[in-house]
Amino acid sequence: MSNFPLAIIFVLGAMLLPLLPRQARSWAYLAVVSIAFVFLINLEAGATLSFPFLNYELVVSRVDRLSLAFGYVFVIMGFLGGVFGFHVKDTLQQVVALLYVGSSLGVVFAGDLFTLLVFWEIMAVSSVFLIWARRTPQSRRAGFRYLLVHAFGGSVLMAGVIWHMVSTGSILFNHFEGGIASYLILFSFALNAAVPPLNGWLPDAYPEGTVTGSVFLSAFTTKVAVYALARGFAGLELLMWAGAIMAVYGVVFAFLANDGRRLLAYHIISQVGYMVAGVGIGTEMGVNGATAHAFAHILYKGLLFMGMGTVLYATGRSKMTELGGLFRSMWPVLILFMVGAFSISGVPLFSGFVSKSMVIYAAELEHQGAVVLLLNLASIGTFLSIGLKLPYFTWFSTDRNLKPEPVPPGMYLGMALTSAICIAIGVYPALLYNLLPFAVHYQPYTASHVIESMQLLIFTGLAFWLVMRKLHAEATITLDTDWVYRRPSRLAYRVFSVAPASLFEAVEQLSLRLARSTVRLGANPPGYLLDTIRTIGHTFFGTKKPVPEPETFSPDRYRIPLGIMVLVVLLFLIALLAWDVIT
Amino acid sequence: MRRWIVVFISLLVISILLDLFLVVGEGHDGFPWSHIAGFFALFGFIGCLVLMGVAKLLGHYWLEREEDYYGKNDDDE
Amino acid sequence: MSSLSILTLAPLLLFAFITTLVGIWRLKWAYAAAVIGMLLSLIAAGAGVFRVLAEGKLRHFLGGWPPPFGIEYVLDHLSAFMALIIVFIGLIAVVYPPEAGLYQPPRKGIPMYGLLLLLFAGLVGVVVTGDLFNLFVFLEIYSLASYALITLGGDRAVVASFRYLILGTIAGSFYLLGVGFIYFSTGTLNMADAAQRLVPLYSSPVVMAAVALIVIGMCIKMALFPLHVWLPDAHSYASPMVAAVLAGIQIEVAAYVVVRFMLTIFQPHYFIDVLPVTTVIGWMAAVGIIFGSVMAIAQRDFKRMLAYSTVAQVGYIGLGIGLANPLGLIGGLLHILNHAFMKSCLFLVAGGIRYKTGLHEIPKFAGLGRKMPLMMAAFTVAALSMVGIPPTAGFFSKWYLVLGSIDAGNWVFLAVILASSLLTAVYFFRMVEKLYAVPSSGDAAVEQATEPSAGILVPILVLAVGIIILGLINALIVTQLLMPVAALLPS
Repeated sequence: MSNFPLAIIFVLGAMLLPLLPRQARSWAYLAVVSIAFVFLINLEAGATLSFPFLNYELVVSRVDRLSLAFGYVFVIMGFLGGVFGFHVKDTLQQVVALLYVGSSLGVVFAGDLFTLLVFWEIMAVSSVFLIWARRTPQSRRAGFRYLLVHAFGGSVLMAGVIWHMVSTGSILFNHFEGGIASYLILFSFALNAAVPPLNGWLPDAYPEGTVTGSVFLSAFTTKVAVYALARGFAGLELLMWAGAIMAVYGVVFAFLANDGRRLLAYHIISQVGYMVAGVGIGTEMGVNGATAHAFAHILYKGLLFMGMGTVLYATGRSKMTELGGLFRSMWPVLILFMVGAFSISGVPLFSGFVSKSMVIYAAELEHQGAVVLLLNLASIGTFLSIGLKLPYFTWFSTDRNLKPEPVPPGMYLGMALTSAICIAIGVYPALLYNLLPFAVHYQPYTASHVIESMQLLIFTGLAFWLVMRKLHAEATITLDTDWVYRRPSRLAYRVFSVAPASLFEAVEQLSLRLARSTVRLGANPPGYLLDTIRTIGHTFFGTKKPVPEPETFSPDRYRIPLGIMVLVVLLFLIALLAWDVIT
Repeated sequence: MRRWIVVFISLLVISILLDLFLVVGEGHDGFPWSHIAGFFALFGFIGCLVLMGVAKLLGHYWLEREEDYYGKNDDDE
Repeated sequence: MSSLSILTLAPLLLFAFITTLVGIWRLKWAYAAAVIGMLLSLIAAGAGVFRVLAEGKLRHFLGGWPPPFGIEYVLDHLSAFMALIIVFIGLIAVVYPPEAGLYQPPRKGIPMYGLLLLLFAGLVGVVVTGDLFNLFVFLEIYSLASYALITLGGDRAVVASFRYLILGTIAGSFYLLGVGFIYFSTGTLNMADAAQRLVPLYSSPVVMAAVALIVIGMCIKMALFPLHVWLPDAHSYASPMVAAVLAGIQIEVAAYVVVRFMLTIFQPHYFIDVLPVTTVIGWMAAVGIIFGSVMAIAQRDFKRMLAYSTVAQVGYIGLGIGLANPLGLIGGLLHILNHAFMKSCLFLVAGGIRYKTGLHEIPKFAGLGRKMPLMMAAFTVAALSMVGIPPTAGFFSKWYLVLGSIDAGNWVFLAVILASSLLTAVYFFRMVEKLYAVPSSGDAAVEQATEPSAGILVPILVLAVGIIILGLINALIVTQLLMPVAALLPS
């Protein structure tokens, strides 16, 4: 079965899982992923599976080296996530996780845009539940915002896909050549990849997911988008710059974050920046680098989220202002976490070292000096936040006498397995390089590279150590681009007057008014309309000052009288008849 | 404290020496910094300080807000 | 020549009387008689679809009298399609237990099931008849049956029904007047005959007036914005099963009438170029979609939210007609099918919730997802379909409407369709979130809730599974049944 669509296995699994007895479900999840793995290794590059749909040919399965590379890491991560989450009893999370992994695979192996669209939407809907499953008010709200953002992205994608189909006559998913349709599609891919300014949703939603849910979230949506960009837009120079800037953007915001998982979420943006830059460079080395980095990132980011997730599980906290002094009680988690931290920082002998540098090398080959410096700057920030600051404040720093709960063995096992792979790739890069789409002409372990990396890391550490005493985590949040749709959507109250310019104040006042209006409109549209009309009448025509309508809609208040209804009908009739007479 | 500083300075010197002998000779990229020994050490140090400084400035003067800036997390719609 | 059209209609009429008579004698048997009647009709409707697919248009002359003197019944792709939907939803509605669906078990002396069968008879009659006046007769039959059935919902329902009655009668009278004008101009009431005789009369103001009257009348019955005003009350206060039928198929039959006039009785270009019917309907529909969605967001009562949602969904059908190209019409017609399944499922879920917990306000539904997992899963499927998430059926009707909008170069309609997906997501996912993500507030009604009985659950699940199946086989439906209809339109 060299062309079997793996997504089917997961969909079937998701349908069958709720029917199984409770104790069997976690095993069943692992079984489904294992079965998928067996099918995966039987896939052959070049195989396709298509069938006709109206006037088009849908290519439900398109196997080549690029999709295989992503396919492998998705299935592996799906398995590791299942090991980590073995203790989860919530069937909803298990079913949804299967759908999420399955639909991600569906997108990666899709050969046509319609199949891509279908699985893209399923990805969005299933991942929302991983956020909602936490069942706190914040997660409900964040999940809702996540849903709306992705629904919007999905609509744009649909419009772009249909436009593309209509203008080119082709439904196949390959490199896009430009035109409005491809810009729409690029927009929606960039949204899912969290390219700024479309990144607001990610640091908003990912920290609100469940302990296991966020591990899955961190691995799939953004990397599926990276794959999509690599397939459709490789070589687009805009992406190279966007990626480089994104890489630094993420680390700056990450440094300001207080919640450990939000910090990690911002680092997703930063690391995806490397991948996007690699795609933008577009050469074989660039795409290889992006793919390699995606592979490594899925694993080590999953590991990092597992680590912080374990801390959250054991202590109930994830904010650095509330953590500290866990070294004695949770040192195994620290060790495993640091494997992930070293990987992401690009320490030699760990996976990040052999993947990140490929992207940077691709930039060097193209003489893109600014990009090289920006990406290296991002590495500095990464090691700073994840290798130094976060572990320091979580496991050391102020001892808050926390008494962590015991942690299920599955979580340790999941972290250990993932760490093992991260180290394995670091020590023996050919394991990863053999999966890459193009032939690899790169040797990461050169003297200059090792020396440069060590210099970078050691002296970042020095700078941190010098400033360490002065650093303290603050219980704050940062504004990000989601301010645009979050501020106007909440009834605000008095703000800390940090803003210096009065322009900022004026904008805030305006958005507050906009916010209140939108809320009132949403709660009682006819009332809002009446209020507006009466207010206009009062201000411009001097009619009586209006008494505000009630906040919620009440059908009895706005019921249109029978006579008015009949009058409207008659007016319509007269209008239509008059049209006949006149024309 | 003094011991650590000694350690770091020696690391710096060692790395510059290693750089000079193993790296700089190649100059494979044609980038301006490939000829500077110890460039990445300096870049790491200064870059880290700059990042922390800029981030803190940005946060303090613009981006940071109270945790419930976007509204109390109540059960309402 | 085939009597399948009559065979679909006759059992409904016949069993309407049988059920009423039996009901006077033994109430339980009335229920059984109604189910038997619907089953017979369903078999005929199904056979009708297959025959039409094989042979094309099927005609039947009532009593053997040939037109233009006799009344003719016609099954073509469009009518067979509509008839099957009507009867299938009808069967689901009849099977649904009356304690949940009608708020109370059938009462002695009130012919609930008889009325229900009359309602379906009227609906089927409208879609299979080939005679203009006969259509009016069936139109009135189903309207009167529905006015009566709505009143079973309580005091407020009686008032709502009265308002609907007034407007519905106006609509019916408009239709009759319009048909009268056509008869006056052409001398015939048979649809096929009139079609031929009308051609030289296209520029006649009498004919134009007739079309205007008929279209407006049907737009009232279809609840197209801004003539929708009777709908929210009627559907909110009617009992759940009645509301399911009203929103699921009754509204759509009025849309059918417009399409029939556009394609068969007149030539399409008349409705597109000569009289701006499609343009007007299209724009009214577009506004209605946004209006309905926004109003739905504001509602706390579940059934009222569904009622406003219906206004928006009818907008999709109207948009399909208004686009006046084959893809758009396919989208609109497919949406008739999809909406029938989705909306009925949703109203029946409302009935189930009300029956088991007595609750009808959305904020109070917190935590029900765990108490009634199967029913809420069905709800979620229907909600996903309303928003338009693949592979559910709703995604595909949106797909065709988007294709049709691009084909017509109408970017405003495209934006409306895409925006409405977001708006629909807001009001449906708000409820999904309440069901699954909000812990129950300790309300006794929710705490003690359990999964409803099989009688309630099975119809709901059948519809939910149907939504997914319809999504998967939509290509089949479109190519076999809908394309021949849409082929009549200029591309």
